[in-house]
Amino acid sequence: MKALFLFSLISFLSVSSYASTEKNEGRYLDYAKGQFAGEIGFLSVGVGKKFSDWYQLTGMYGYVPPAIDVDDIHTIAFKNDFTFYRPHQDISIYFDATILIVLGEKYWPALYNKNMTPFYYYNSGVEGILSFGTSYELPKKWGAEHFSIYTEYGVLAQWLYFYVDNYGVVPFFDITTLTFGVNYKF
Amino acid sequence: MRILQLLFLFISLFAIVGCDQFHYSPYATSGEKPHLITSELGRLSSIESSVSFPFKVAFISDTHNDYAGFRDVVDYINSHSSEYAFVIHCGDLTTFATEREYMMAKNLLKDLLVPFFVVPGNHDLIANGPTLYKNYFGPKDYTFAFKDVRFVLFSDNNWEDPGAPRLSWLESVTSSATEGLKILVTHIPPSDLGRFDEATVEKFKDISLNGNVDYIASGHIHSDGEFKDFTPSTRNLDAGLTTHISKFKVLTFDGAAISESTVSF
Repeated sequence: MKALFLFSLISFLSVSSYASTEKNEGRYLDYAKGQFAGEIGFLSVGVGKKFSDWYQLTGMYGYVPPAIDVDDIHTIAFKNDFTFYRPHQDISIYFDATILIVLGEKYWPALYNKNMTPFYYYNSGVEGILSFGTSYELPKKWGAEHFSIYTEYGVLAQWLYFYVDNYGVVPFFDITTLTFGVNYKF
Repeated sequence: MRILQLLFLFISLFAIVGCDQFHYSPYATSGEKPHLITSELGRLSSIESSVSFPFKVAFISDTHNDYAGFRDVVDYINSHSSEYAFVIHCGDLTTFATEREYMMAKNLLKDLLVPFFVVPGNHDLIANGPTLYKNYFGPKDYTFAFKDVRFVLFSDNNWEDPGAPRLSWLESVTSSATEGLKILVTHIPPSDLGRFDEATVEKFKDISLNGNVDYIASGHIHSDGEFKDFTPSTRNLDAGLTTHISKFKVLTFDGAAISESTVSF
């Protein structure tokens, strides 16, 4: 799995350097992202397609190394970004709904344990993350015209449910999560 | 425009400095903590001489993510703390065994004014639950004596905890205990034939009979009275209803006598 992470990272860098010489029109993929935190990995990389001015979809691979955790964790995430406000041509404010898939047998207990029926447990290897985000395109004068940076502030869907179901008992800042990322437009 | 840029920079700065808000995975673990079971055993030891018969032990269970209900039972026990020597949670503190769930459960348990003990439930041991349980609470199988009563707490989550139930250990501590009363505490009722094969259930019965076990307390089933008394001499205590109908079970120890009651809160 570490090899998969390295492969993804190298692919991300390769695609970025190749894509920077091309125009956007007619591309299957419009951009690449690198992300820190946000429940989908310590570091995540991925590519995405901008389907319209208000919607883009990103597929990402995330990794938590064993130096941080008891085991390394590998994830696949599908980020659905819905832009709803552009206060300036360089700034986007959007809603993000991410589907997170955590890889590994232990996160899908009912599927891999022969004693259990497939739905003995809710298979917690699939999660939802809901966030608000803001993206800022870096100024051309910085020599970084293809780059934008973004932050997202969100919550795991299951924790949002727990928060509402236990209103007043679960502290709000115990359930939220922050993200910081870099976007490279091809 | 400059204001918006400043706003964006502020949000970015907030993101960068709010390090405790950066989470890498719902299943990440943050390392070993002081084991609560160890510290609670110390607490219990320090109060033993001040507790006299009759004393009560409250049994709660299966609080999962009903933190509001969990808060209610903690508040109730705290408001009657002089009545209870300690509290035992029979497992399923969590639903998905994530660190945030463990932290919430730990924080609620630590609010108890009396000592508390836990056994892991099946939900507590999925995903990285075994590591989190060890990090927060310590051993899955342990025993202590209090006022001539032997309490044996053990994991019997046979599908989630490889090797459980560790019956040779259970037999050893039960048969060698010299206290007048013996209480086993686990999560899954040992007579649950949906979980255990008949040989394991029979072994549980042998251990209970040969070790003169008085009660087996468990949760898991979320009902009361589904399982009959385990053997003619070993009573069954279902504790799995705690937050569902705002009730918990109590054992009252008075010398060589034990009585069972239900408290509504």
